[in-house]
Amino acid sequence: MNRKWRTAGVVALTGVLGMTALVGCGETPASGQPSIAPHADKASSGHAIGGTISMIGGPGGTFVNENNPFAPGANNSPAEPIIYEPLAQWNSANGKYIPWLATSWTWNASNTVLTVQLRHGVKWSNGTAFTSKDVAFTFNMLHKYPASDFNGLWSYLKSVSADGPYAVKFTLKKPNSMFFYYMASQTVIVPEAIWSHENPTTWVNPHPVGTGPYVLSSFTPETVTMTRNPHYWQGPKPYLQTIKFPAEQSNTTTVLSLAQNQIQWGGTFSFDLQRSYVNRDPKDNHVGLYPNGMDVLYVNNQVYPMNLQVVRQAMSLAINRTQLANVAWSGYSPAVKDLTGITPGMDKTWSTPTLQHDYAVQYNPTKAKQMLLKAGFKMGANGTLLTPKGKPFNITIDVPTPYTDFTAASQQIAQQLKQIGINVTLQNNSANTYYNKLQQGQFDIGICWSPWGANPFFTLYPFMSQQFSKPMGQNASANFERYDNPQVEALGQKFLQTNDQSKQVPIVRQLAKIFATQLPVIPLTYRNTPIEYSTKNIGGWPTSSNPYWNLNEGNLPVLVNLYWHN
Amino acid sequence: MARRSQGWQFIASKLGLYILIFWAAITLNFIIPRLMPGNPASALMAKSQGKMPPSALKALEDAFGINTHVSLWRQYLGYLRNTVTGHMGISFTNFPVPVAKVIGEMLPWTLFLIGLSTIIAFFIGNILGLYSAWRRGGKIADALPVAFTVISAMPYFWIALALLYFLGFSLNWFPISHAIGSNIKAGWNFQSIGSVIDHATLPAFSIVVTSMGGWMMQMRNNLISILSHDYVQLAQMKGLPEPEVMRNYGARNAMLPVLTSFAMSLGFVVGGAVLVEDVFNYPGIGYALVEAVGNSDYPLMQGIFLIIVSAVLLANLIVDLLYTFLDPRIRRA
Repeated sequence: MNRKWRTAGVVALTGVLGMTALVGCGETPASGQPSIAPHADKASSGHAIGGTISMIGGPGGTFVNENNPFAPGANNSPAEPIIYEPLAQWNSANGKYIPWLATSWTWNASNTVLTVQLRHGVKWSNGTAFTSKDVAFTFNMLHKYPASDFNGLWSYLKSVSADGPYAVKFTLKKPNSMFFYYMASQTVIVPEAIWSHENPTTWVNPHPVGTGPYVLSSFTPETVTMTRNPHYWQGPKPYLQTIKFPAEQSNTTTVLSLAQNQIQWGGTFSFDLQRSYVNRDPKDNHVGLYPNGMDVLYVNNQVYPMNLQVVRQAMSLAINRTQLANVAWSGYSPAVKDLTGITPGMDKTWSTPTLQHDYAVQYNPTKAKQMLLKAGFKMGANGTLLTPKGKPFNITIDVPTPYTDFTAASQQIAQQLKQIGINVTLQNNSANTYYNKLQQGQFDIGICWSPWGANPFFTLYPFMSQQFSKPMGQNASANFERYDNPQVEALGQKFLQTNDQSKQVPIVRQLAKIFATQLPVIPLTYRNTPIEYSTKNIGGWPTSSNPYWNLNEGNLPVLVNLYWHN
Repeated sequence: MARRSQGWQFIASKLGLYILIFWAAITLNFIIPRLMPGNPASALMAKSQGKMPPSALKALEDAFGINTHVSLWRQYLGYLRNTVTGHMGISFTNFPVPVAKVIGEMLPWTLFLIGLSTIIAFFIGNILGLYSAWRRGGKIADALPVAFTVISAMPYFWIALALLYFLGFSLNWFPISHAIGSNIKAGWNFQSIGSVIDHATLPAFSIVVTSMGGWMMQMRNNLISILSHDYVQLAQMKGLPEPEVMRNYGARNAMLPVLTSFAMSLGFVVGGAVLVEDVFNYPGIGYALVEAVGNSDYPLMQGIFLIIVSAVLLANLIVDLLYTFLDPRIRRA
């Protein structure tokens, strides 16, 4: 069964719009903070209100009526991310924050106190006013219940307090430039009046009250229905009257429902979306591809001979990434262009043409073999290399069988490495076992996704820092390969001290250089998610010519802009 | 009188045996999930595919109580107590929703679709089996086993997908997913029942078509072997009417082993049918079980296994007891 698909895609969101028009109730965001207005010309006149969209919130079977963003379930209600809103939205389409429940924010000189100004006139869906008390309450609640603090905010925070009705002060233990992303864009705000009586880790929250554009109107295990919140602060938005989330557990019926236009917005991977979906109605059926980090080959840096830099470099040279991308990802996810770990869209700000050129990907198995022979490896009798210690170079690649793309890619890699004399055996696992092996460092090599966030630091630092590692046998959070380099830790500390992008950029470039040279992990492809959407009756989508939002980063900013037309 | 107490003794010894089997089953139910590698926190991180920040791992472990230091023996005692008192805990996948609620929402659909299709397939299959054994040598009677052997040789999902594609998608005669229309509130009214039947037709048809062959073959083989027995020939020679020979001498005896399989399959109905639920996007226990295994959701897994074990044992117990009335030989043994 390929229900547990994973994703793929092309298209780097390059051109970023000059977006100047405003969302919402006419307040001016802080300068340099553009907002979303996909159809600025039409938005001013507004669209008629009405219409229904059916969308899938993510495959995973039937729903349970649980709308608690701080409870750690795998099958949360799809309503949750549309009911609760964060202080700011991070827009990976242009790398900028969009002021949302907050309008502006400032750091003090030592980067330890952040003052956030809140939007006036925002109301909870039960009609009460949204104030700084709700914001302070939400963050202090996460302090009280660490099991709900998924972003680990209180490892940085000292205190959070309201500063008048429309400002909140966050005091940090020490400067941390990753904090803002997790605090502002990855944490949603809940109303104090309701949540102060509840335990956020275990409360089901059957009747959610939020600030978002839609409210829950009916719930069944198979369909969640939401209707427009008439008090929404971006009024007259949202334009669509109703959103329906049908539960989907099968790829087959999802693609058929999409083709029948019963679902207008999907996120399903299928090897041939062009034929099964787009060609059914080429004018209105579209597949957009949205970047979502990288897929890399994790190489265990604690296991001989992969702890040798030259071995990792040789492996990188021996992998034909273009073939990999075509076979395993139908070309949706393209081969990485360079080894820096800086993904398209971020490269304009964070990389340089020199870096991109110096560390451009090469495919050269002959050179790879020569490098290994020069490093003391010998060719064995049966075509398998002998390590300098005289043992045959046999390794295992761990494969998550349910992820068809990783399985196909792993088979390719095994064949390609065999050509330079590395004997790779495939080991099939359940998804759960495979991931656990990676976390615990009980593997030789294995393909997995990269950490990802507001800038390349969110990828490079977790990949390489000991902060994200653990001794073998314990669960590491990101540095599965157990790379250890004091230079990275020093650069990381320097980066965390400053919120000034002009100071951050050179640090990221140094980290990228270390990453590309030492290859703690081997970058393979840029990971793209295909999203299916129909323009038959619904307009306002981010398109390749107007990529105002990356649909991977949540659907709320797009939902408020969609409108019905005939 | 003596015969009656013998009957009760038999029932009591059967009950004792079933309690022992039940204990063994729920103990395995406790042990097996804990032998699986990984834990629910890593499973959830794996499932989020990089969308959860690295720091979430610790919070998840706290929430699920994974790094608990309660000894395995105490966990087992707590589990036994909870099983007896019907507390199945909180599902990790649907955290913090209780397992009982998750199962409660799925079970009626599974019972309805799979249960009803199993019963229909059983009746049609057996009648066809009787017919094809009784009339063997006839064109239709001899074509039936061949036709159903071909159908059973085809993979279920292939037939289901073909039905889904042609009858559901191309011809648009039946809805292609879900158990009820999205605009309809489930209830005891004409519109709602109509929608449920409309949605169940295609999956039910696929189950009946693929499973009735098995019933037919079993009945046919039993009957043919019984019809060769001396007492049947004696009955025929006595000049009893054909239908009576078939009913009283053939079918009644052929029925006994079939009844055991029927009870087994009724017991397994609560386990759902993963492929049916997956292909037709039908809500049910089978899919929930697959999800639970994938997510290391021990409480949900244990809850579903508990229900399956109880249902299978109960169905077998009932058949065992029924046998004592249907087949006097067993009572005497």
